[in-house]
Amino acid sequence: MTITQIAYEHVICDPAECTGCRICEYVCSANKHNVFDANLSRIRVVRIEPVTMTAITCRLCADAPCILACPRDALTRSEENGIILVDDTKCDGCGWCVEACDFGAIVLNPSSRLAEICDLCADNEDGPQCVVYCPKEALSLATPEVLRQKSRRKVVQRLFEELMDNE
Amino acid sequence: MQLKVEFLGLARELAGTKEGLVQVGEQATWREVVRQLAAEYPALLGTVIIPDHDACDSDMQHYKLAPSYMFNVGGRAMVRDLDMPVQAEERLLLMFAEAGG
Amino acid sequence: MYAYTGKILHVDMTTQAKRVQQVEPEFYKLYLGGVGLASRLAYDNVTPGADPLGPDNALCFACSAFAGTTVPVGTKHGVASKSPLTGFIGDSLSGSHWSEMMRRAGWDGLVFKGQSPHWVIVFIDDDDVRFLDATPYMGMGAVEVQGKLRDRLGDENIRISAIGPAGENLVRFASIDNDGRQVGRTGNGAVMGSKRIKAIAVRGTKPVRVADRQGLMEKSLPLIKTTQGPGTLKYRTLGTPANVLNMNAIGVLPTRNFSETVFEHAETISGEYLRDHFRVKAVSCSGCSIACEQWGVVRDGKYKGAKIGLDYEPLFAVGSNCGIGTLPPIIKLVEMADELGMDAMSAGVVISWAMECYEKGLLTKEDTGGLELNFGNDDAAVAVMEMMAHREGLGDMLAEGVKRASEKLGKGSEHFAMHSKGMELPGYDVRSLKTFAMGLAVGTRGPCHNRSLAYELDIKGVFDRFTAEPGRGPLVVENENFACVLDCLVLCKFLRNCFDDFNTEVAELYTMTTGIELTPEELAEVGDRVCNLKKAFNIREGWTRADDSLPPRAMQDPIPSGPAKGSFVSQEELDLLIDDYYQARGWTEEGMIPRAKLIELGLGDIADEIGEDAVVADAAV
Repeated sequence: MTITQIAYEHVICDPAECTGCRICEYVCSANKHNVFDANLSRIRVVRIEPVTMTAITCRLCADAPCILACPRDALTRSEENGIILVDDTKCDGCGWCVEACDFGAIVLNPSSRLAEICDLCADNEDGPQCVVYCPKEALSLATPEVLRQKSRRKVVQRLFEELMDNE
Repeated sequence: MQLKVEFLGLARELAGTKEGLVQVGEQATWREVVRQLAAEYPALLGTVIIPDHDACDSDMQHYKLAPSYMFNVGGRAMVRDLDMPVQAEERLLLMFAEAGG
Repeated sequence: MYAYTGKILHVDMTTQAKRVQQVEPEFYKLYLGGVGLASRLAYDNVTPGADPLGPDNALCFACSAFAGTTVPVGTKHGVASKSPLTGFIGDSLSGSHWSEMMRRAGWDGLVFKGQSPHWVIVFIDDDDVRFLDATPYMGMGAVEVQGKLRDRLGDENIRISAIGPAGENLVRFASIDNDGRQVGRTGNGAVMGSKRIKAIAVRGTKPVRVADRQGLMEKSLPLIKTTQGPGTLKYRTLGTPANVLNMNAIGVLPTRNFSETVFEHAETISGEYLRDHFRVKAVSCSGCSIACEQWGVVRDGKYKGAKIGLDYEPLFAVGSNCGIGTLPPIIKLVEMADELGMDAMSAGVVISWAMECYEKGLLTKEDTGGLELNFGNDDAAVAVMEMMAHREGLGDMLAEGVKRASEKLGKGSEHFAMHSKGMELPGYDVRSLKTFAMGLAVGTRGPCHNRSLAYELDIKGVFDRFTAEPGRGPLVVENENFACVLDCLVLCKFLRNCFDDFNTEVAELYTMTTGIELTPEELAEVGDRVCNLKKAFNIREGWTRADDSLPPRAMQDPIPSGPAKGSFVSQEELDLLIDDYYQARGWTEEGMIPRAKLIELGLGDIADEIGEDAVVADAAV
C-alpha cells in the first residue's frame, strides 16, 4: 500500500463545527453549473446520525490514486496549486477514478457523465466559495500541518483560560 | 440602592452567573442600571446591552438593552421606558421575549 | 416560472391512480408555498364533512419557495389535511430535506386521497410513482424505518417522510417524521396512517433553477452571515429550552397539568442545565445556517443512551407539566415520542391529564394496568407513552387526545382537559397572558404558539398581560398575519430578526428565486389571505363562535401561587378579546367572514362556494 501524502491546501471540514446544513453543496453546484443541485456538488455532507456529520471534498492527495487509476490519462495535477485537472476531451466517464478515491470525492456529472473534481474555485479570486458561505466556519482552506498548528494553539489557549478561571 | 438582578438565558451564559448585584443612586433610572451592568459584566456588551446613540444628553456613553431583551420587575411588570426611575428594590429579571419551540 | 415546477401530484390511494395538476404562477403569488399552498390544496381536495380518518380526507404536502437554494433557513415543507383532533384545518410544518427533494423530483405539492386496501410505501422516483409492500416495515419506528428504506432502495439521497406505530394505530396526535424532524401538530400522522401509507420516499434528481442565481447568492451571503449575529445567538447557544427559566420566572410555565405556573425543579430541566450537562451539539435543518437544535445525550443511569434534539415545547409538556424535574427522563420521553411517531406536545399534555385524573382518584390502578400514575413518576410516563402509541390498555383512550378522553371518562375531568378545539395547549399558561389567550382561542388549527405570536406582546409588556381591554385585536392580527407569511414562504421564525425591512427584502428574494413579480405589499397580504382561507375551511366544516374557546381551568381556576397568583381569564374577558379579534379581522360578530372580505382577498371562488350574500348566512344553516 502506498502512503497517502497530503501536502497541498485543500478544503477541510471540522466535524465539531459542521451542523449539516448543506449550504456548501448548494453553493458549489451553483458556482460550477449555475443550478442548485447537490448531485453536482463537488463537496458533499455526510451525516451518519443526527449529530455525526462532516463535509468531504477532494483532498489533493500527493500520490493521487485517481490520477494513477485513469486509463486514458485524463487526470493530471496542476503544478500551480496541486488541484486535479480533468481533461474533458480524454475523460470518457468510465468512473475508475471514482472507485480509486477513498473519500468518494469525485463526481460523475449525471448529464455529461464526465468526472468533476474540486478545483478550489480556481477561477474565483475569493477562493473556494463553500468556505466563504459556510455559516459555521467549519470549512477552511488549509493543509493538515496548518490545521495541526491551529489545533495546538486552540488547546493551549483553552488550557490557559481554565488556569486563569481557577485563580 | 442595591438591586439583585437575575440573569436568564443568554444573559446568564454571557455573565457567567445566575445573579448579580448592582449599586445605583436613589434617584437612578433604569438606564443607570443598564450602565452599571455593562460595567460589571462587559460580556453582555454587544449582545444583550448595546450602545444607545439616540440618547446623548452629554458626552457620557449611553446604553440600552438589545431588542428582545428587557427588564422585568418581580416577574410581573415589564420596564417599558429606561428613563423611568427605578422602583423598589424588588426582584429584577434580565430576560428575553422571543420564544418558539 | 423558476424553482417551482407548477405541478402537483395527486395520488388516489384507493386505486393507485395518479394525476398531475398544473398550477399557474398566479397561484404562488396568492399562497407562496408551504402552509399557504398546503392549506389551499386541502381546501380544494378535502371533501367537506369528511371523516378525518376516512378516504375523503386529503393529505397535502407543499414545498417552500426557497427549498434547495442558498437562502438560509428556508428549506421546509407544509402539510395540511382535516385534523383528526380538531375536525378543522390541520396545517403543520417541518424542516429538513424533504422540501428540497419533493421539488427536485418535480413536484410543488403532493395530494393523497382515498385509502389503500393494504399498507404501502409510496416511492416517488422523479416522475415515476411506485407502491411497495410495507409489510416488512410495519411496527418500525418513524426514524428507524427511514434508514431501513434507504438501505433497501440503495440510495442515501432518498428522503423519506414516515409514520411510526402511533400513526399506524391512528393515534389522533400522530406525527410524520422526516430525518428526525416532525410534522408534529394536529395529527397528520394519523391521516397518513388512515390512508395506509407507512412512508413516502422521494428521489429527486432535477436541479433547482432560479430566476436570478447570481443575485440570489449575493443576497444570501450577507443573510447567512447575519444569522451568526446577535439576533440568533440565543437560539444557537441555548436553543428554545432557554424558555424554561424565562417562563418560570414570570409565572407562566405550565406545571402539573397547567394547575401551577412555577415549577420548583425548573433549574434542573432548563436550557442552561441541558447545555452544561447533556448537550453534545447543536445541529441544523437542511439549508439552515442557524442550527438551533440542541442535542442532548443521557450518559448514565436508567435512561443511558437516550438522545434527542430538545425544544422547549416538548420539554415543558413531558417535563414540568408532568411534574418531572430532571432531564434524563425528559430526553427519553421526547425520543420515544419521536420514534413512536407522536406529537410530544400533545402526548405530554395527555399524560399530565391522566396523572391528574389518577391523583384525584378518577383513574385507578386498575385503569392504569397497575401503574402509579402520579405526577413526577417518570417510569409510569414512559410506560404510558408506549401504551398510547400501541393503543394498549389505558393508552387506547389516551390516544384519542385529551378532549375525547375526558369526554369518555367524564367525572369532571373535562375541567382540566387542557385543549382548545380538541388540540392540546402549548407551553404558556394563558391565565396571565391575556393577549395570547385571544391568540390561542381563535387559532384556526387550534391553540398554537407558532401561528399566534401574541405571547410576545404580553411578555414584552406591549399590553398588560394581567388585564384585557379592547384595542389589542389589530396588533394580534398583524402578528398572526406575519407568522403566516413566514409559514407560507416557508422561512423559519428564528430568522425574523435578521432583516431590516422584511417585506421588501423577502419579496425581492422571492422574485429572484421564482421569477414571479411580488411587491412587498403583496407579500404582506398573503398572511391575511391564508388566515382567512383556513378560517373558511373551518366554517365549511361547521365552525361556530363557541369553538373559539379556552379550557375551563384557564377560565375558572385562579393561578394558585407565584408572580401571576390570582390571575385567570374570565368569560367576559374572553368574549371581549374575541370580539376585538373578529373586529380587527373584519369578520362578523359571530366570527363569519363577509363575502366582500373574501372577494377583496382574492378568494372569490371560496365566497361563491360558501355563501350567497355573506358566509354567515350559509353557516347558519
